[in-house]
Amino acid sequence: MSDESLVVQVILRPASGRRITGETRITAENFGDYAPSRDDAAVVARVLADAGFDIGPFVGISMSATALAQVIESFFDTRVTTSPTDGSYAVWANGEQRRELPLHSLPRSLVDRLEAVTFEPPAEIVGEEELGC
Amino acid sequence: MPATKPTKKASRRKASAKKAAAKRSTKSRAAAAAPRRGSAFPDRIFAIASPRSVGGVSMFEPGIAADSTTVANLFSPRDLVQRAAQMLAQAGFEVLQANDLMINIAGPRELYERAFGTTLVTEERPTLKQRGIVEEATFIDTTDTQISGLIDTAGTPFNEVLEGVAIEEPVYLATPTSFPPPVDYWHLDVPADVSLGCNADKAHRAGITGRDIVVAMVDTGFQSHPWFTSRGYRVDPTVLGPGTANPTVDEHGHGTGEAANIFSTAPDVLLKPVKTATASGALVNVTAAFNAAVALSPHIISNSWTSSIQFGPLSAAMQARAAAIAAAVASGIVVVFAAGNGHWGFPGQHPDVISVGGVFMNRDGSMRASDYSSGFMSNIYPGRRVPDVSGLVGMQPGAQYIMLPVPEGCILDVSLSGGSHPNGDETPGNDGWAAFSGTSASCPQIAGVCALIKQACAHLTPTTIREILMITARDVTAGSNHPNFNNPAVVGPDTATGNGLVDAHKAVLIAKLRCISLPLQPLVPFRPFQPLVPLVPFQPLVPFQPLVPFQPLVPFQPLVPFQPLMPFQPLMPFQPLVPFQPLQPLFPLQPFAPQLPLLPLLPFGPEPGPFTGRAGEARGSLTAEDVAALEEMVIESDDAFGI
Repeated sequence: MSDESLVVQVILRPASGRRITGETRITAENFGDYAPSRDDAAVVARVLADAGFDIGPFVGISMSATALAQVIESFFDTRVTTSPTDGSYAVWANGEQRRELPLHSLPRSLVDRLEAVTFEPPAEIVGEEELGC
Repeated sequence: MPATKPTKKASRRKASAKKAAAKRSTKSRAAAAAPRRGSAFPDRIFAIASPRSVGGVSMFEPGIAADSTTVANLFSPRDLVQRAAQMLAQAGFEVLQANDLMINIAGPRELYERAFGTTLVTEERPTLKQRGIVEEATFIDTTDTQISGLIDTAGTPFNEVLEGVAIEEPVYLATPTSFPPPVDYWHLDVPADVSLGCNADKAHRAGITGRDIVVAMVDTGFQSHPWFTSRGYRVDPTVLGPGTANPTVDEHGHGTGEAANIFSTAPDVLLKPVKTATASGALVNVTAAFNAAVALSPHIISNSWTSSIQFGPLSAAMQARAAAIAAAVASGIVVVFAAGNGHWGFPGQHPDVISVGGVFMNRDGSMRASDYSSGFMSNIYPGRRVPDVSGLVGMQPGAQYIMLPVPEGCILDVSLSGGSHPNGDETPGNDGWAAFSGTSASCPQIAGVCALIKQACAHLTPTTIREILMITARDVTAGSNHPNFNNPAVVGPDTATGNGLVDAHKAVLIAKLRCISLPLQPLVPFRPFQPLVPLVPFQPLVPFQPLVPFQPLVPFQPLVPFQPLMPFQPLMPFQPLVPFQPLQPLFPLQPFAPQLPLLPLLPFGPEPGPFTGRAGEARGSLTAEDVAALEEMVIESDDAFGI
């Protein structure tokens, strides 16, 4: 897997100081409460780019970061694996597979700006239910 | 005929001499310039062996063009064919078929080289392949003759029975046509039937076609197809989402087919496809792809994909997805999502999207809720009803309802092919057409209608556009949605079809009225975040380069005489925008009456508009109440009144 190019979604903390939990409902109406600061986005993008990631456009609260698996494993101090259920990417943490990458090895300046870094679960095309593909 | 026909023996001698000459010539040619070697050989090489013909003329002779009047000369005696087939089989070849004209054989490269004393080579040649793409293909040739792929049997035991052996060439399917295949079951064709079913034809007739509107589509990609090119639809090059490849290929076919749904309701939009699928058709990194679509600054983003999430909490990845949608909508982008086909569609249930369900329209125009489409009350967003509005979708078991152009031989083309409707689309798996639907089809139909609304009134917000779609939709009161939900369609809005089947014509009329009634506000583009330009990774400094030796100066050129600037033209004073001129209010035609005496003509000048008319004139400006009344008239009207 080390020579595979993988994509993670980098999620930033809101500039308002609020935290995003599983119960948070972000909509156009309250988006301002959860929008990260541009400065934070720029700092995170720069650090990741320096580490060898290709950075995608920043929209909402996140941006994509693409790098070889070995770069991701080294930067986040973890081992990337694949989910036995759907083949998507995950990491082992505390004896279970998770999509979210551990942040403990990252510098404080980065951790303080990040809400999470995660592999995206696969989505489905709406229309191929009967195809079996 | 017999009088002029050369004897078999003479012909053979002549042919052998020619072949020998050709072989010599080829050998010298090969020595001079060896053919460019190509790929590895396949395990089985197919070839056509030609038994010696009764006419004494080989089908491989230069200048021979077999037709119905000459082919008899190329036939071979049955016993000779059998003998040749036996010899080939004894040598180790698979004899696949034999007739009076030829023997079809197969075998590995080494067998050909050993049996015929030849050397095979591969050559890469540009070839028109499937999907209309010109790429290199591997041809197998010999060093024997000047004729491509022809093995000379001279000097081998086969010379007595065979005139030659022609190695098969790669063959590719013909490019599909613009016309859908005829099938004998009720289905919709694009663009006509889908446009008619969504009542978009009348909007098109009125010049509302989506012109100057940009629609991004996050899907499996887009691949050129004659259906699009022959109609002149405008599609930008595909943008690759992270983790995807091959921007000119749609391996799955879904995105190409759904693009046809967009153009069916909005033929003049500019489509910007964003690919989010791998070669296997699996969707990956969809939020990142959606963000790539946002970065293209479209008016509308069409999303025929989903995750099924019935309950919270939302994962980090789903929060990122929700926030990306919220930010896009907050910036004025209309985001359209499929509600799902039995899924608890997410983001189809996000409050900011236009969530699209499905209605099945029968041949007689009757409508019922599609039992293939999702519809539910969201557990994640309390009070959120899914869908908002519906487009055209087929019924269980496979919703094979809309005949759509796809890359020939793609996953969809093959998967849905053959069979008998409704268990197959009854088309070949390589014809570039497949019948399918689902809310993945209704979603782009509605995205197209949004483009019509946006063209009719550019400053409408995503929320207003959704409201217009909903209040103008045709109520559907029969059937129920997907068995996972089994919600019945009832009078008024429901969770089976939302507010019902979209009515593009009425939606455009209401949009025009809204444009009259809403004061024009200068649009301040809302930019929560400018998409970050990917930072260039830090590059170590390039080692110091020694200075280039000093170059003597070029002899001084006298300056061109200075040209005085043109006298400065002061800018025209800014003209305030002329207030929008609404349509003249409709007045019932006055009964014909004798003409009044002609009044002297007033000096020619602009007609006073509703907002500029003199006080006391009957033709006053439209009040909010007027517009509301007109909207009600439009909504309540039916086509019998020709609105």
